[in-house]
Amino acid sequence: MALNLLVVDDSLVMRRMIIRTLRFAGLPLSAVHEASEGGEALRKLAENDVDLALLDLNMPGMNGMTTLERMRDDPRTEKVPVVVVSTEGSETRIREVKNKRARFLRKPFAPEDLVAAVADAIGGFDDDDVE
Amino acid sequence: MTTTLNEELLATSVGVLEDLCFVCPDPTDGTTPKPGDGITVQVGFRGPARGRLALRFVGVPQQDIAAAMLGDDDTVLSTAETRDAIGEVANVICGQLLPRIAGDTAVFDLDPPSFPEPDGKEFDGFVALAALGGRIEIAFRVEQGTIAGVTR
Repeated sequence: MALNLLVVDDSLVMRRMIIRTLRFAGLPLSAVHEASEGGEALRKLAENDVDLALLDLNMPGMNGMTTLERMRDDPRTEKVPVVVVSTEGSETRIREVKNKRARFLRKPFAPEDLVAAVADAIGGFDDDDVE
Repeated sequence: MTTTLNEELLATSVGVLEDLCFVCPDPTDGTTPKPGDGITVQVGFRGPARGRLALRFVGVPQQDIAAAMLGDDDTVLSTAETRDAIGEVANVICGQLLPRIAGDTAVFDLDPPSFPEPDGKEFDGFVALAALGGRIEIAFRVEQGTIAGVTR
């Protein structure tokens, strides 16, 4: 199954790193949407089918925590798997993220850790899924 | 400056540059910024204390850092992309440093990276690293509150 992905980070380079890592890992990606802050992310979610969102926390405009809360409050996006990819180191905030049914991955990440977090978030993938 | 703050600043910065940029920096001399042309990127933080972390690149090819982050030596990156990359480096160092010096239950918000002109204010923590034929200076300043034994 090819994934429709949404990558939300105010850093263009970080978005590229994430997408590149997943492509190199052979994950089957269909559409890849990008947003640089939460408001744009919510619009992309409303306009597109998204199977998985990768979300930064510290962003200008709407931050990642508010974005995640809005997603979970909206019946259309409440079940979209989310991996928060952030430099955040506060256990308090990481717990908040997990309470919102999102995985957490700390920057800088090893490629295999990103792939594992994505696999975990979408319920795993078979060898047949890897291109 | 406190020894602990500088030690944490050094360990965090070296770790992030190695893991994120695949650069192996070495600590070098200096307790204050050296004169010379360079670009400074800064990340402010707000929480139990307020302050900022600044990275200054002197003679360091920032494009190489950005290309290393992307794992792509062939693509020519724009100035905006290169600034974006070093901004992310500052963001990650700041995000990793704060729980090390303020405890892992403290919650901070980070500002987007900015590129200020030096304002001459003193720093509470400072380390200099030799990397890629140049020098990376990392400075930390508390603006308000108490963190890592520094109160302002």
